[in-house]
Amino acid sequence: MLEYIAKRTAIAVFVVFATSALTFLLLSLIPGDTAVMIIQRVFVGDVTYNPSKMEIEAAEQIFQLGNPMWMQYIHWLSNALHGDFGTSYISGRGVLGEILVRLPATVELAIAATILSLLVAIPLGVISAVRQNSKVDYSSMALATFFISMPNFWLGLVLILIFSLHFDLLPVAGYGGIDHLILPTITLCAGMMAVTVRLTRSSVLEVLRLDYITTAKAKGLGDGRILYRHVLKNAMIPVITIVGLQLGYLLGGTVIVETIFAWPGIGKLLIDSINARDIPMIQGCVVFIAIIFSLVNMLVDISYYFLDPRIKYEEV
Amino acid sequence: MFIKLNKISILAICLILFSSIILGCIEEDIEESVVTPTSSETAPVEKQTLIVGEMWDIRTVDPVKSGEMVKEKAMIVDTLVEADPDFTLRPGLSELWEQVSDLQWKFYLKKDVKFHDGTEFTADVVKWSIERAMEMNPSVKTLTQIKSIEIVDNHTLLFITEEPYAAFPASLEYPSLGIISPTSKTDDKGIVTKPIGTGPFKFERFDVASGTLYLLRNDDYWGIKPGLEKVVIKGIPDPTSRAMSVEKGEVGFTCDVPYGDIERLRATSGLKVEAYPTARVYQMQFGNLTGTPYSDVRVRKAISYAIDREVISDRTLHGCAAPAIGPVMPTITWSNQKLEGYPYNLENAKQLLAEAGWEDTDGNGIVDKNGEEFGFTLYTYPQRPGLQPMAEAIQSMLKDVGIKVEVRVMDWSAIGEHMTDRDLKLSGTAVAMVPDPDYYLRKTYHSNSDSNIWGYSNPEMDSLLEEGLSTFHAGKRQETYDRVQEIALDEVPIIHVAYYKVAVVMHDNVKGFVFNPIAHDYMLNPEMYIAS
Repeated sequence: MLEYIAKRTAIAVFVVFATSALTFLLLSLIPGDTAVMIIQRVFVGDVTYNPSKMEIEAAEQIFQLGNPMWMQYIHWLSNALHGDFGTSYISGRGVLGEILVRLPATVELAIAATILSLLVAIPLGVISAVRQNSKVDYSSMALATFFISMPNFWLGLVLILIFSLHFDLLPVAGYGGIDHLILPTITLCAGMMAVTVRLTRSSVLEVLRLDYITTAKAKGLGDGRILYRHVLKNAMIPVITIVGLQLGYLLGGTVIVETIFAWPGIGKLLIDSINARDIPMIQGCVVFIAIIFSLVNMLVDISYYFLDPRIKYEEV
Repeated sequence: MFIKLNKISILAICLILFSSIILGCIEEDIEESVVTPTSSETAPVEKQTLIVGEMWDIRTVDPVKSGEMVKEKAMIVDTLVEADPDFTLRPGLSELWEQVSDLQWKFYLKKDVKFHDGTEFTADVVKWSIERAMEMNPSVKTLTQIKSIEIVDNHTLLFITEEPYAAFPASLEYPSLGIISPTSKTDDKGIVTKPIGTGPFKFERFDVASGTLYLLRNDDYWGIKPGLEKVVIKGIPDPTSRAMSVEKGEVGFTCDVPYGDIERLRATSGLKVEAYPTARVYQMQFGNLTGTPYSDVRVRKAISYAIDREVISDRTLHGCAAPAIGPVMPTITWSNQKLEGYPYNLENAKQLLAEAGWEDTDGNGIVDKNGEEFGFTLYTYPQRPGLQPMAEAIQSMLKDVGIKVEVRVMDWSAIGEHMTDRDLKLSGTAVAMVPDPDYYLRKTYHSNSDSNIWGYSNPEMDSLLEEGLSTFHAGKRQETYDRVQEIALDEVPIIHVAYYKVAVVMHDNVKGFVFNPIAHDYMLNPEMYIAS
């Protein structure tokens, strides 16, 4: 087990490292001169501004842009290993600090959406499986298809229109109490929930057909006991995998939902930085998201070990 | 067991719905308290809170990094020189200025001014503050041409410019030159985290995470007494969310809502919607004026005549633009009022094209010359929502005169790599970074300008523009720039399509707002208050 964890950690470190290198490479391929873009977007606030040579040289000096790309990367990497992820061009604050300030909002939304999704999706999935081809099954299927096909930005706006403007129940946008959390949570949750319901259903159906369930029934165990002790535990492995992936994705910030609801999370920070070509900030956000994603994935894989003793990592 | 699970899920759903209703009601009560009417004309002090839905994320409160936020929107700092809505200069923190020589300007500071924390407002502080801005923002030096600053006495400064620069006083209006006190709190990198200025509003706090800025009235303000007690500015970058926030009453003032929402908001009771022209112009520039069909001025004029600016402003942009004549909108004091521009005229356009040799010889609807059809790609970028619809409208209008246009939308910085000499670019360009004619006219029409990549060159224009820089007499200077605008319109090296308008939406009870087009986006003013 320990050997497995060590191996996984090594892979995760490699993934993060590779992500950082790839991001740097891609950012260097953005058309246009970085110094010119900083002047246009940070100093003057107008993309049509044409800076003079003097301004470009001064900006290159202020932001240390004179060196070739690979040297900038090595410089960034060595600083990052010492915990310094650079300084945002726009705000002049440390990149790590900016990310950490927005982390609570993102975590709050991610956890709320995951919990809500699990609370609704797992019971619904199980019911749909147990009562296969019933009305419940069909309507949950229809609902899931509906929610999967609905884009986030549309659902978010429609929810605002209905619950904020028409019924005047919830705030439109912003970060604050639980009332601010409800609409973004539901918006995020809808798509996730739909996937989880379908997955839970098919996974439970699969387990229900296995021999040991027939044995359990033959033993005379009650339906509830079979479902809880035998079916759910075995059916949960794929569900946990997908929920883990979803959580990792959510913890990386959700660009669209955070933008619509003016939710001050990492996704909104990332899109804002991309719009402004704030390269250290983009780099920092992407690496941070890669770290979170690798970490969550690793935890999910390790959790299999505890959920299903049949999985032996030494053999993997 | 199954029924039990069902019950739990129903219970959970009920719980969520119920709590959302309760919380919704609580929220409503809070909103009510902000707008409850009273008997007097202005609402009492405790109701004088204005919540502003800002279009950008607020990331920093350092005036050098974000001058338009700290000066124009938050009103924390003042500049030495201010400008009226028609761009006439007026005293700011400096009550008077005089020109000593071609390169030297003496500025007399106001004496009865104190910073928010009581720090004395003196020449030392101003020198420090402006030098700090020049060091941190290289564009400040380009815009102001400051070579050095000398202190004459406690309230008098002498500025020395690199070149004779008639635009100098105007350049001190640039928002990054808002004066802060050295007692302003900074972080370890020297970025201001608590700006202390002299403006009508004091910095209370800045919530970095949510990008919300809280301001308090400065009772000791040197100008008129501000009407509002508190101003809260929160970043809502999504235009649709901004529109819905102001409709619901979560914010009392916002701008740049989606064009398609303007009619609906106008019809909503309790809201006022107004589109104000700003100092930004939608313009089309040619790839190259040499070696292309555009080297013939008749072709350039034909294209200009073929564009129906009224339709673009009123229909395509839902009234959020005004038809352009020349580069400068007529409300700006230095605009040449005599110019007429190129009103929509299909016949003129066709005739000019024919005179230039472009005729539809094969009857396919596209004009040609020497067997070559007239077509180009019109490039534009997505950051301003009016650009793409405008480009498409121009595409269909030019089709009527037989020019085939393809529209391509891509990031600003990528356009340069794709655009050929024959293509055109549509942009929304700032006309007055500082309230002076020199900035835009010289960068657009001088043959040496970094911006003039289309290669326009006219010796008379060059000498007029240089003359404007060193002509300090206001009347003579105006004559120079009148002539510049006349030549610019006559030779059309750039086609001006429309003046940019910003749609401001606010609640009916927000009074005293004056739109000042010098602002980057919009500017709040101390006269604003909330009526009962």
